[in-house]
Amino acid sequence: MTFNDFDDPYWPLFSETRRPSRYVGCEWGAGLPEKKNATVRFCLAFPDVYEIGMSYVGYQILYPLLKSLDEADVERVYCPWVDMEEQLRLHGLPLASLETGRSLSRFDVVGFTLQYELSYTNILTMLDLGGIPLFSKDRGDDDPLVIAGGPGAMTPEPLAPFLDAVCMGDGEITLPAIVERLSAAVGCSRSEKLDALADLPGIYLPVRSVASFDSAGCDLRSSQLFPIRRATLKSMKGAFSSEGLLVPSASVVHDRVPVELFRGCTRGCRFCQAGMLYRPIRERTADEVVEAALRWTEKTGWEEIGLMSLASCDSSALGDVVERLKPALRERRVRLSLPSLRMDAFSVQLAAALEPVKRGGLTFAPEAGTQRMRNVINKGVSEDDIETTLEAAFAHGWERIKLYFMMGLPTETREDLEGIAKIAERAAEIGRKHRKRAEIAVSVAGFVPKPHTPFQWERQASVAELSERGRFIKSLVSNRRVTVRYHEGEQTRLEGIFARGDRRLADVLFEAWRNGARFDGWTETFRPDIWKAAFEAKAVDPEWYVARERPRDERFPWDHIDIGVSRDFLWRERERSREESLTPDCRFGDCNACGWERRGCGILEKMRAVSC
Amino acid sequence: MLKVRIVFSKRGRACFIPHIALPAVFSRSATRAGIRFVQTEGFSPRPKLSLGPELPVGIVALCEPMDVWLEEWRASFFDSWQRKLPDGFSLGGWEEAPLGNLGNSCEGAEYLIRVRDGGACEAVRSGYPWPEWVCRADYDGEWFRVVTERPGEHGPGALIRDLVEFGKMSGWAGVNVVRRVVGRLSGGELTGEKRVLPLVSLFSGDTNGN
Ligand code: SF4
Repeated sequence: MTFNDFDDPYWPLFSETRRPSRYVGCEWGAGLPEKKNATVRFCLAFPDVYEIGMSYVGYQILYPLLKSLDEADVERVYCPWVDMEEQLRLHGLPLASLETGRSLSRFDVVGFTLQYELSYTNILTMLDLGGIPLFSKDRGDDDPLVIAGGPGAMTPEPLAPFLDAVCMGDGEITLPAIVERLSAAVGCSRSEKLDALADLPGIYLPVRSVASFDSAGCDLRSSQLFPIRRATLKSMKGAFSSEGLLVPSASVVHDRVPVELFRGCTRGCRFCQAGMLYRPIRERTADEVVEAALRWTEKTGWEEIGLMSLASCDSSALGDVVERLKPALRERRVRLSLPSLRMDAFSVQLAAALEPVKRGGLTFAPEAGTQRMRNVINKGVSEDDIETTLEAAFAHGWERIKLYFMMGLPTETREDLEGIAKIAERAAEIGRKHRKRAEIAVSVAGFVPKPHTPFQWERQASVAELSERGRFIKSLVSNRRVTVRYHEGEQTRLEGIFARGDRRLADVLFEAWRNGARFDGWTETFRPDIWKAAFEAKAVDPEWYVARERPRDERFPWDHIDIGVSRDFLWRERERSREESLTPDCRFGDCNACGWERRGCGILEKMRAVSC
Repeated sequence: MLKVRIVFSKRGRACFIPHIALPAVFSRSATRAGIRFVQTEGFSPRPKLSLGPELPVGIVALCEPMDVWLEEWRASFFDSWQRKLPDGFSLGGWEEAPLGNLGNSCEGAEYLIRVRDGGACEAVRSGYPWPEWVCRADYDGEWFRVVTERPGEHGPGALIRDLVEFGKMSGWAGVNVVRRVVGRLSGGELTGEKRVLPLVSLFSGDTNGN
C-alpha cells in the first residue's frame, strides 16, 4: 500500500497549524492546468489570510484576466498566519503559490494588493518567506519584480524601497500592458525590464525616484514624468468579464458570487477615500449584470449573489437588475444580497423583497450623530432619513440593526457624540414598537484622515481622545437592547500614520517587522510596544504624521500621483466642510468640477448630451 | 424526492478541508453539474445532505459515505458530478434508494495508521492498550490496520491524540492516518477477521492507495 499524499513536504506543516485549509487550495476554477509556455509568470499576493483575501472582489477579475492572456500565467498566495510562518521557518520551506506550489522567488512578477495599511508588515513576511530580497535595491536579475496595486498604491511611499513598480488604476488596463512589455523583455536585466515599464500609463517606479524632506513637506525627484496619472477605464462597456470564478472549498468571509454593478461613486462623502479614488462613475448595463450573474451562478454553484459596488443602491440599473434576476434565481434557489444599504425607505424595501424571511440583521452607516456633523462630512443623510429607514426596517420584520459611526471627525463636539447615543436609543425605541426583541448594535470607529480626500489636511484624534470619546458614548447609552462597541485607538493611530506616511516610514516598518510585528490589523497579534520601539530606534516622530493640521500648501508624499480628482476640488470641499455645507451628488445636480470635467467624465457627457 | 447514497474519497491536500465545509463542496459541485438537491424545510433552507461520521482534517479518506436527497437521479449524473468536483475529491460509487439511515448503517471504520518514528512505532506495537471499541489492530511491518466499531461515537481524533501521547511523539505530524472505509462490519469470531465493507454496491474506488 502506498499513499503518496504523505510525501507532500508541506503535509507535516498543515498537520501542525490551526487552520490548514487556508493553505491547501482545492478550489474550483483555480486555473489549472498550468500554462507551460507562459513567458510571464504572475503571482497575485494578498497580504492577509486566505479567508479575507478570497473575499476580495479584485482577484475574481484580475486572476481570470491574467489567465486569459496568451503570454501570462497566474497563481496566488496569501499571507501565512503566524503559526504557519513558524512552521515554514522550522522546516526551511519557502512560501509557495496555492496552485503549483512554486516558491514566490520563482515567479517573474509578484503583485501585492494594498488594501489596508496595517497589512504592510505581512508583505515583508511574504517576501522573506518567499525567498525574495526585501529591498528592491538588493534584488538581482533572477528575482521577480515586486509590484503593488489596489487603493494603497495611490499612496505607496511608506513601501517605496520594497517595491519595484506600483500600478495605479484599473487592472484591466495596467496588467495586460505590463505582461506585454515584460514578455518582450524576457532575458533582459532587471533594470531593462523596469525601463520597459516606465512609460506605461499608471505605472510608478519608486526606485527611479529620490525623496527629500524640508519644512514644506516632501520633494520627490524622478526620471519618470510626474505626476503619474491613474489609468482609468473610460467605461465598463465591454470591459473584461470572466467565464467563471474561483470558488473556495474552505469557508471564507464573503462566500458568494460577487457582481459589480458599477465602479466609482460621486456621493462625495468627505472622509471616504474610495469615493475620490475611483471616479468617475462607470456603470455596467443591466444586460451585462444579469448575464454575468446568471452565468456565474451556473458555473460556480454558489447559493448567493452579492451586488457589490461602493453604494449599490445608487445604481440606476439596480431595480431592473433585481426584477430580471428574481424569477431566475428563485428557480435556482439562489439568494441575492445587497451588502451596503443606503439609508432610505427604498433600500429597505428592496432588501425586504430580496429576503422574504428576515434572518440576519440590516446594517446602515449614518456615520455621524448630528445633522451638523453629517453636513461637515457631506453624508447626505437627514434625521428624517434615519427615522424612516429604522421605522421601515423594523416594520418589515428585521430584529437586529447594526449602525456604523465614526468618532474623532473634524470639528467634532460633545453634542455630536451625544447624537450617536441618541440615534441608538431612538432606534431601540422604534424597534420596540415593532418587535419585542429588537436589538441595536452600534459600532464606532476612530476616524482616519486619508490622502486624496478633503480631509487629508486634518489632524487625527489621539489615542487618548478616541478612547475617552468611546467611553463617553458608551456611558450615555443605558438601554439594554443597545450594545456599543468602539475600536481601541492604537491600531487606528498606526493606520493613520501609514495612511499619510512617507518614505521615512519604510525603515520603521522594516524595524518593527524584524522585531516581530505581524498582522497588525488583528487585535490578537498587534503589538504596540514593538512599534513604539521601532519609531524610537529610527528616530521618526509618529506624531508628525497624525497630530497636526497640515498647512494648505504642504507638499504631500502623494502629490506625484494624479487620481483625477484635483487638489483644488479637495481643498474647496474642505472649506465647505468647515462651513457645514453639503455638496450634492453630481449625478442628480450640477457638476462640482472635481477634476474629471477635463478628463472625460461620463456623467458630464450625459448632461451635455441632454442639454444639447 | 430521491435518496442516493454516495461514497467519496478525499485525497492529497483536500484532506485538510474540514468536514464542516463538505456539504457546500458537494452541493456546489452538484449544481455545477446540473444536479438539483432537494432543500431542507425551515427558515434557512439548504441542500439536503447527510454526511457519515466526522472526519478530522489531515486524514486520507478512501471511502466515506453520505446520503444526498435529489430531485432526480440518472446513472450518467455520477460522471458529470465527478467532473465538477474540486481537486482532491472524487466519487467512488452510488446506490439509489438505500435502506436504512446512514448513521445506523455506519457500523465500523477501518484505518491504516503509520507511526513515523521507529521507536514510537515499536512502543505502540508492543504495548499500546487499544481501547475496547477497537475490534482489530494488527501490524504489517509499516501500517497498523485498525478496525473500530461505532465510528459515529468513536472518531479517530481521540485515538491519534492518545497514540501521540503514548509514543511520546512531537505532534500529529508523527502519525499518518488513512480511513480506508466506513461501512458495514463483517467477519468476527466465527467467520474470520473483522473487516469493514463499503455501504454502496456500485463501488468503483480503490481502498488500497495509489
Ligand atoms: S466631473 Fe463633475 S460630473 Fe463628473 S464626477 Fe466630477 S463633479 Fe461629477
